[in-house]
Amino acid sequence: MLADRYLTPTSAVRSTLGYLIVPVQWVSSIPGRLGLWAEESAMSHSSLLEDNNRLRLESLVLKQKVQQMIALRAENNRLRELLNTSEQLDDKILVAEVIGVDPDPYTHHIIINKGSSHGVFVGQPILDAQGLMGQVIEVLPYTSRVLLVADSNHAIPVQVNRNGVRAIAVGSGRLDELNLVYVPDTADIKVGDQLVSSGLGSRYPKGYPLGEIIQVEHDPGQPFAQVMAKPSAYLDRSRYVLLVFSMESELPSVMASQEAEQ
Amino acid sequence: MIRAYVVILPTFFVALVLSVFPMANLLDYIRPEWVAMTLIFWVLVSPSKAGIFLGFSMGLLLDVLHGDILGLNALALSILAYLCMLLHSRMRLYNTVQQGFLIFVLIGLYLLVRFWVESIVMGQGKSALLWPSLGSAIIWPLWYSLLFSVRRYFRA
Repeated sequence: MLADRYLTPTSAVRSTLGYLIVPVQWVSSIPGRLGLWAEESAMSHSSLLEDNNRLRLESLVLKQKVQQMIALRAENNRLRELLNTSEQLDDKILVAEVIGVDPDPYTHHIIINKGSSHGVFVGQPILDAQGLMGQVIEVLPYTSRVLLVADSNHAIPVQVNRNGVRAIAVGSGRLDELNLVYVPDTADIKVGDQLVSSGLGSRYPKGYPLGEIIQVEHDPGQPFAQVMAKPSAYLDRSRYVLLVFSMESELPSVMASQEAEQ
Repeated sequence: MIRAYVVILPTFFVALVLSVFPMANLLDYIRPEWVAMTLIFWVLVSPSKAGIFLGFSMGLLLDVLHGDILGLNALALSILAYLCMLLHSRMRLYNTVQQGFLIFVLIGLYLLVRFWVESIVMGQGKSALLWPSLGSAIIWPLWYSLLFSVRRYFRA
């Protein structure tokens, strides 16, 4: 066990054993998939049509936004060139399905159905359609384990979207709450502010939404303000998640020094 | 000998599935330790076939399945198997409800070992001790009779 904590070769043992537990995970996710299948096949014709119409409209709106985005991105890159900074690249994305939740009620881990054979790596950020969900902490051949942002062992550097104030959002252990720590009483953070990832720490890509401030409390007895946020990702409901292959995160020197620290 | 393992291993498969099976939030807190209970059963009824090695290998699988440090459950289940081998002749005299009390203690010890090792290696343990032991003790008579009929049916 000490070997597992401090040496790397045991990961080979782990991934070999990982093949053995694939059927276990597959079987344990049957009821969920069955439910999904039943829901899909029992859907009425009219509701399918309705869904189809709604999605078509949504895609139209999104396409219009994308057109705008392309122009804006090009402009942004030109301006960045003027400033001599690196060009922003598109993030590549892989869709994965949630196939399990950690049975331990004191941790917030989920299991997804993509693993090292799909190119998933430890530390990779996970999103759903609403915002950041967490990061990969363990990779097996066909599955990986994701630490959610709400886990009490998780922290993420964030920025307030309105004015760029930086903070650190630490999981509270409850799925609907994050705490912003070390926020001075004078910081300009208000209820309703949107939080986005700041990209500092070079683990999460910059600019993905994390949550919304729901409570700011100034207690004179405390050295810092108590700020609470609500994650915007559906941490307990999302069935499909997105794995982000960030182009900017390929900073070998930074990654190497981080690994050395761990 | 091999015939026995053809029955033993599938029961462990079921136990492993049950140990990660999604359940309602409150039930999660008293989720019985299925793998440990299955190990106790097999050591109890055929100590010549199931023992420390079986506990060790199932523990390794459980470690990978739960994402714990490798060897944590392996060590705890090996100790549990050893304890059961010491106790099995006495435990056989009890009926299943009385065995339930002993299961409460055994599973509690298993969780305690796990908690100790985890706190030493990782700095913090995440295991709840009391409720899972209670859940295991309550479900034991049912699980025992189920496994017993499986064993009799296949004459393992």
